[in-house]
Amino acid sequence: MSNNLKEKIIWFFIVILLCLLVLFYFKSEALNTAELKSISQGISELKSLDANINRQLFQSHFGKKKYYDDLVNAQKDFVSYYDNYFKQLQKDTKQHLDEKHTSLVSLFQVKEDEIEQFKSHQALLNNSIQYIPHAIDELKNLLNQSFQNKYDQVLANLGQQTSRFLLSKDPIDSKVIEKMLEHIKLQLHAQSTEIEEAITSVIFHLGMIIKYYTEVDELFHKIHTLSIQKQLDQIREEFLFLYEKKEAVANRYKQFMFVLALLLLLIVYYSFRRIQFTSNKLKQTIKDLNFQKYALDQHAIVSTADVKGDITYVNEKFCNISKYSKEELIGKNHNIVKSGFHDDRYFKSMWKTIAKGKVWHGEIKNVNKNGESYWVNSTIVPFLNEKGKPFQYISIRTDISARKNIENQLLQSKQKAEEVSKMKSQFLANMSHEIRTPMNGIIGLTNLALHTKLDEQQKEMIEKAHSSAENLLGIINDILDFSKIESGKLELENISFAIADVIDNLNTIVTLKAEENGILFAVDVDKSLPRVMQGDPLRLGQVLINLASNAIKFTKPGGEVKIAIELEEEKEDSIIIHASVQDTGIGITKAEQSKLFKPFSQTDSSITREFGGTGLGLAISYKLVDKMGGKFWLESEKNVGSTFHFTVKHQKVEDESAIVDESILEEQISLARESLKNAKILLVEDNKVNQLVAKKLLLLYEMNVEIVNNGQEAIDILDTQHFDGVLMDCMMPVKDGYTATMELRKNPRFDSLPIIAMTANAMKGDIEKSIQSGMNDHISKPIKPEVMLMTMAKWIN
Amino acid sequence: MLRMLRMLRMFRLAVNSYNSISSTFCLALILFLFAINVSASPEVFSHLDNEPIIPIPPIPSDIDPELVQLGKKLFREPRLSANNTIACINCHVLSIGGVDGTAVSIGINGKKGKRNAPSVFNSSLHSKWFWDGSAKSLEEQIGGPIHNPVEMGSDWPEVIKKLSNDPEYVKDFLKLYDSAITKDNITHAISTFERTLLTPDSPFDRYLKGDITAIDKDTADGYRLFKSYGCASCHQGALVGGNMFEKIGIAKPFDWGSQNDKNLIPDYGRFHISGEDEHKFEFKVPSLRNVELTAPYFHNGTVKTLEEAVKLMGEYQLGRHIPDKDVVKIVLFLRALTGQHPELNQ
Repeated sequence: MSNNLKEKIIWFFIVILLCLLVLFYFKSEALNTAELKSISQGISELKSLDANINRQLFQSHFGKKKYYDDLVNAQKDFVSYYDNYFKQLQKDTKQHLDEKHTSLVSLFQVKEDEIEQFKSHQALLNNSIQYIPHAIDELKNLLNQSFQNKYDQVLANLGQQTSRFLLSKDPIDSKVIEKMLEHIKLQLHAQSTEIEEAITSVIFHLGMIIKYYTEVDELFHKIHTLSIQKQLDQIREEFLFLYEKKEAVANRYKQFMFVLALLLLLIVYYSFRRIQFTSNKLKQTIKDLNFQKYALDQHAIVSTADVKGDITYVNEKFCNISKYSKEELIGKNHNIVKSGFHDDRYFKSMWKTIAKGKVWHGEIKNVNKNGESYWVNSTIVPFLNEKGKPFQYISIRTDISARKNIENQLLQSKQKAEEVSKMKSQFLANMSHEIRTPMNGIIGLTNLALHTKLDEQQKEMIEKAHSSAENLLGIINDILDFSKIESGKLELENISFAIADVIDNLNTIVTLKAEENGILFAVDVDKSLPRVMQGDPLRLGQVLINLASNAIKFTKPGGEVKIAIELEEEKEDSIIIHASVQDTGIGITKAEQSKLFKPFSQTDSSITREFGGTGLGLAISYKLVDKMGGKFWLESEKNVGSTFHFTVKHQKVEDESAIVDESILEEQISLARESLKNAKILLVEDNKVNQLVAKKLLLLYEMNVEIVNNGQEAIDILDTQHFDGVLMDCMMPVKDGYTATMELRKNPRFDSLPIIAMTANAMKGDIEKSIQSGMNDHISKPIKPEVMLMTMAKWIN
Repeated sequence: MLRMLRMLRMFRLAVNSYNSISSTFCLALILFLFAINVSASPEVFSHLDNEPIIPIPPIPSDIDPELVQLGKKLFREPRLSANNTIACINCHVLSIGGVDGTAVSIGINGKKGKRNAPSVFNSSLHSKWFWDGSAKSLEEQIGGPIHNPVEMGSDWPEVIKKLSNDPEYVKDFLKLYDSAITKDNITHAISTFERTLLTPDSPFDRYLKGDITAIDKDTADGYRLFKSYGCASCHQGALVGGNMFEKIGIAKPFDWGSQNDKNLIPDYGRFHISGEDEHKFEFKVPSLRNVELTAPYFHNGTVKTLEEAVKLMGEYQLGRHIPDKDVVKIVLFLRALTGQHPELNQ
């Protein structure tokens, strides 16, 4: 798990814990102590307000107050206090205590209704009580006018009875009053209307007293006994019960909170420890880094730059080498030390690399404050931000000025050496050309001379001359080969060939020499060797002929030379051939072996004198084997004999029929000869001998020949005459073959004119140069008749 | 005692303006008044004890005048009615005693009500409102006429809509309330105004407070008679009534057909509200404050003079025949209940 993820998870936990903590806090705080207080207070206050109503009622009932304003206000106080009290209750409290509150409200409604009734009835009662003595007196006065004091006693009794009733509230007393009234009414029936009215009034008021006296009293008691106080107490109890229940829940949440807080503390402790640990590690790392930086500063030139290349830091070394002070450098662009040596593309590619966030290595030539240049080997490392974009670059450099100086010197001497080597190669090429040209003449002419009628002596002499020339050509070819190898210009062919052809050629050349020297020569080819393979048959043959010739050369008559060719290793698409050439010659000492493959060396200078030779053969063979991907080694014992071993790697060939058959070649040559018959050929050649050789050869194959001496003459004659093809020498005075061909090809008329180079510069570069100048093909001098025919037939028809 | 009250008011003023520069001045003034109070001779209040009638309290001074102004404006606002013709003040003409002088008032489209419009003066001191006591608060009462089809015939949404279209009202309400125009705001403003409509300082109140010269001997006799006949059993308290219900026609059934008026069918009063038989013919005992200004009388306005009303009350309620000489004196007492208010008699 990555640190980042771990950190995120911890943060996630902390956030969750905090959320829970807040949630639990609110859950635990749901316990509203304020409400408890306000309800307790409210209930007490309501009780006292209710008591106040009762007190006011009491005062009104017993005549202590003769108006109801205070009673009404006490009721209003209760109602408005209750409304406020109820409003501030919490929703769930309201719900839980709804029933109790509803019955309280209806109970209070009953109380109010009864108070209203009480007020109405008491007013009537009071009036009647107050008035009844007067009413009785009035009646008495009226009766006295008619009946003297006859009814005094009766009315006095009525008054007494009324007082008695008011004291006893006994229904029997009220019955007595009613009876007395009935009696009076009967006795005084049909008296004056005044008396009638007075009696009616007394009856009415006494009726009122009887009716309302107990009722008002009952109402008063009923109102007092209404269980409002009890109901309020019940509300309080119910709320307390609720509150305790809530308190229990809240306490549980408080416990949870405590546990959560502990957990949080643990996490904080853990985080703190982790931070401490990380910071210690960081301190250590910083210490290490500082040490490393110190070490780096001791060794390297260090600077940092921002994305624009402005310097943000440099170390001492940087200042020392650039001769600038820190203050001069910081904030400046890095190109302050730019020397101008490198072109812009160099820095552009550098910026491209580091802007991509990649590390750049390179050598830069800088210039210091004094204008002196110095070389540094620089590594630029971009620092990347979270988005992977660089925001700073650190450059670490080492001063390589000294090495650069040596390198420059070396480069200069190398260039010089190469120049010398090139001159040498050029010299050799020139030499070989210069030698080949006359050799061409000698070999060509002796060859032609052998086709003329000669006597025996002449024939022998010319044959000797011819073979001597051939030998000389061999030596020259060796030198040329070597120079090619030395200059790296030797290129191997890669064609399919039959190993048997190589062996045949070897036999043809070596057997004769062996017989001449009285040496037994044998070639043994491994049966398991594939018949056909791919590689350079010519060079393989050359190595074998070289080694065999050497063996014969250094073996005394009666000795023997054996060649064994076997399959060393077979891979999926290649084979390795092992060849060994064993002789019974003079042998080579270990000391001599080390010098053996150096050019122009023979084991002993006396040997040259005794055996002749250029001393190039082994050197060439060694290089060729090396080039063919093989090894070369030898086993030798002085005066017993030597065995030269080598291996070469050849590719396998699936299709063995790809090998050209000799008979097919013969057929092709005659076909070519046929197609070239009577063709009109322009020969461009400055050398008179070569002119003669070529002319004779072309005439031999029944072609018509016109000869000019240089490129300019060729252009002139081609302007006026038609030719089927041109044989062009390359090195000529006035205008060489390359130039002439290039000029001719500029003219569209000569687009399809076959121009074939004839050159003694048989190096690969020369062939390429001729093709580049516009020539179709190339024939190397000295001319081989078959090659010339085939090449010409390919283009001229 | 009055001085004490004044001092209290001053003190409240001082507290209100505590932060102002004048606070120190107010404090000084209070100290000064204290000094006067201590040196002044104590007044005689003893005869006030256990009287059935108490003085009207002074007009409260701690009410926001802007709020009163808005309430007053609404009180005069005909848009509270359906056809924008009837305002509160149409039936409660302040200058003539908070009534309109007719038996029953005329509402929108000339419709007539069934009960006599009571005075708006001192209305805030009632225990319940309307003749049948069906409104339990002054604010609740305000909704009554607005909804009554024979009075203003409107409803709250319509009223709020009309007032909200008046930018001036919107501005006033927003200035004084947290919210714009609502039913509660409107009733609050009007009731606040109504709470200022008190009529203290009537001759009788002055008499109650100890000024024995405030009423003459006959008037004082009238008060004595008022008590002794039993009128004060119901007509008591600051309003001389207004805080209880009583059946009309105790000693003698109320004459519903005495006037040949088709509208005067028996009115069952509280019974219409409660549906209880014992509430039949029960009406709120009306306040007798400023009673000389509020003719005609009774719940249906059938009685034109005070003398007649006093006589009829004696017959219906007390079962007493009140002789004319006593009626005259009682009426003298009733006339002494007329108090003072700036809007009155203007």
